Amino acid sequence: MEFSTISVDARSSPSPSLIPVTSPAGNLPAELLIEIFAFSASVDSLAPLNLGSVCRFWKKVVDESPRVWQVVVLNDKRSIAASQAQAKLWIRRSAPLHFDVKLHVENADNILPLLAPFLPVFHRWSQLTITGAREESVCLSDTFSRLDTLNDLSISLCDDEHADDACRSTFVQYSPLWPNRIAMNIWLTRLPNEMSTPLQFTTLSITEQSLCSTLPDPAAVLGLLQACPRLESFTLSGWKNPEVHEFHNLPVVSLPRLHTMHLRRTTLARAILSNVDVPSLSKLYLANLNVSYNVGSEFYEPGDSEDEAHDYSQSPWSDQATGMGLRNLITRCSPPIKTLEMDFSDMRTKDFIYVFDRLTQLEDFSSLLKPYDEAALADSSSWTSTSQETDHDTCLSPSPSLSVRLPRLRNLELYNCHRMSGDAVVETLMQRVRYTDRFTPAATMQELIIDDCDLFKAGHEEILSKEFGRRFRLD
Amino acid sequence: MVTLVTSDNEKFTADKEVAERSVLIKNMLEDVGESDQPIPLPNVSSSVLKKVLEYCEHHRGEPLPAADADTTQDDTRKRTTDISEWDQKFITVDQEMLFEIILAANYLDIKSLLDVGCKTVANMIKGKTPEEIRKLFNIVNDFTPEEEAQIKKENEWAEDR
Repeated sequence: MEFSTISVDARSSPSPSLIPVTSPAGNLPAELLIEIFAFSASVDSLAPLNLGSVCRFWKKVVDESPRVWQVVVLNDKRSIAASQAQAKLWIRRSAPLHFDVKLHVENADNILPLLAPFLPVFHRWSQLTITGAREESVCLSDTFSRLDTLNDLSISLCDDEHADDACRSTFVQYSPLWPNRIAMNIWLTRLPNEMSTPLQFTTLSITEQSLCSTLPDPAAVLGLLQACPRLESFTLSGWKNPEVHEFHNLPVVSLPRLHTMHLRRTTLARAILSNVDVPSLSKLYLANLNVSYNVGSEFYEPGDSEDEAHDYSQSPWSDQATGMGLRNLITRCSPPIKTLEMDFSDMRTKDFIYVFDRLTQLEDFSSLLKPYDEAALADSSSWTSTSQETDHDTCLSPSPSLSVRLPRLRNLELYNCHRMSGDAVVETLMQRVRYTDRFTPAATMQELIIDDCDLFKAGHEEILSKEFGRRFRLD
Repeated sequence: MVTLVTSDNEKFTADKEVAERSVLIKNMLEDVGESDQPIPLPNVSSSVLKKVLEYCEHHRGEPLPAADADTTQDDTRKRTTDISEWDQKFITVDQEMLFEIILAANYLDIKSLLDVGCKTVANMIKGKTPEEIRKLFNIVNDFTPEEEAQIKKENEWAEDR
C-alpha cells in the first residue's frame, strides 16, 4: 500500500489539541482519514476542499497528503477556467504520485481544454476515464512510461460527435515504426475559441473529416496555433468551405520553431499565411487551394490591386488569396523556405514574380500549373536570370551584375502543364542552367522533372536531355 | 480452530480459515506455529470482534489481496465507493461501531473490511458542506474567523460553477 509523505504522525491518534471532537471520527488516525478522504475524492469533484474546511486537523491531513488528490474528477458543468484551476491544484498537490483523471462531458468539444493541464505532466498520468458525450476508459501508465515527450496532436473536425467511440482512442501509437511515439487525438465539432493553457505539442494537425456545419474560422485556427508556441510542424486539411470569414484584425501568431506547414483544401490560406510569424519555416506545402468562388472579404493591402497581367483564371479569388498570403508571409518574416510545393494552388503572375524574387533559399519547387501560371513560369523573367543589362548574353558573360531568380533552386518539377509551351520551357531553362552551371555550379539545378505536359514534345526532350544530361527526366 | 481473546477478555473461537482473513492473525499463527495458545487482541472489543468475525465468515474462501499487491491494484480499489448488498447491510451500524470496525480492520489488517468501512464514511460525506460534515460527525469548528476567511478566499475559484 502506498502512503504519502505526511508530517502528522500517521500511526498515532492526533494530539488532543488538534482534535476538538468528541465523536468516534475524531479517534481516527491520519492514516485512516487519508483512506477515507481518498475514497471521497474519487467520487466527489471538490471533496478535498470541503474536507479541508471541516477542522484544523482534517485540513492538515488533506493539505499534506498527496493521496487525497490522486483522482481528478472534472466535468463541463462548471466553467472551463474553474476546472483548469482545479486540475492544476490537484496536479500540484498529488505530486509526486501518479493521478487518474475522470472526465464527464456533456459536450465533447470540452475534452481538449479540460485535458490540457495534464499534458505537461503526462508521466504521472495513470488512468483516463471519459463519460457522457464520449465514452473511453484507458490505462495510460504503461504507454506513457515509455515516452520522453508527447509531441503530436491531431484534431478531427466533424459534426458527428456521437460516432462510434469504440473506434476512437485519445492516445494512440503514432506509427508502428515509432513504438515510443504517441499521438493525442481529439474530435471536435468546432475549434475552441481560446486555449488558456499552453500546449507543448510540436506537431499539430487539424483535419475537417467532413463538411462541418460549424466551419473552422481563421481566428480559432490562429488561436490554437497561439496556444502551441513550440510547434514545429502544422497541417490544416479542410473542405474548401464557401463561407466568407472575417479576415481582418486577426492576431499575429509567433511560432519561432515552425519549420513545416501544410495547407490543403482550405480557404483560410490567406488568413493563416498572413498572420503567422515563422522565421524558421523551410518547407511549405500548398495543395488544392484553388476554388472558383470568392474566398474572402475586401482587402486593401499592397499587392491587392487588379491583376495587371490579366491572367486567365477560373479561380481568381483563391489565386489572389494564395498569392497575397505568401506575399504577407514573406514580408513579415522572410522565412528561409527551401521547399515549396504548389499542387492545384495557383497565384497571379505578379505574385509568382514577387515570391520568386524573394525566396532566395528555395531549392525544391514542385508545381501543378494552370494555363496562366504556365505562361507566368514560362516567362523568362520568372525563371531565369534578370539582367540589369537586357542585351547581355548570360551564357558568355561572367558579369556579376546578373542575378538569378531562385539562385539555389536545385530541383524543379512541373506536372500537368497542358498549355505550357515546350519551346518556352526549353528556352528559359536552358538559359538558366547554362548560366548557373558555369558561374554558380555549387547551386545549379540538379533535377528537372516534367510530367504530363502535352505541348512538351520529343524535340524539346532531346534538347533538354542534351543540356541537362541525367538531371532531366520526362515522366 | 483458533481462539481469540478480546480487550474485554472475552474468548472467541473461529475456523483458522476464517481467522486468517486477518493478515495480523495469519502472521501470528505462522510465527507461533501449531499451538492451542489463545491469541490476544488487546485493541479489539468483543462487540467489534463479533462483527469482524461475522464479516470474515461471510467472505470465507474469497481471494485475499496479495501481500505484495502493487499500487495499481490499490488504485483500482480507490476508483469506486460501490459496496455489495451484503456488505451494505453488514455495515449499517451506528457511527461508533462503524469507526470501531474501521479501527479494528486496520489493526487486524483486513483490507477488504477496511475498504467497506472507509467507503461507507466516504458515502456519508458525499455532497455535504463542511458544516454538514461537522454536524454529522460532531466535530467542532476550531478555525478562527480569520482562518475561515482565508480558506474561503483560497477556495474562491471553486465557486465559479
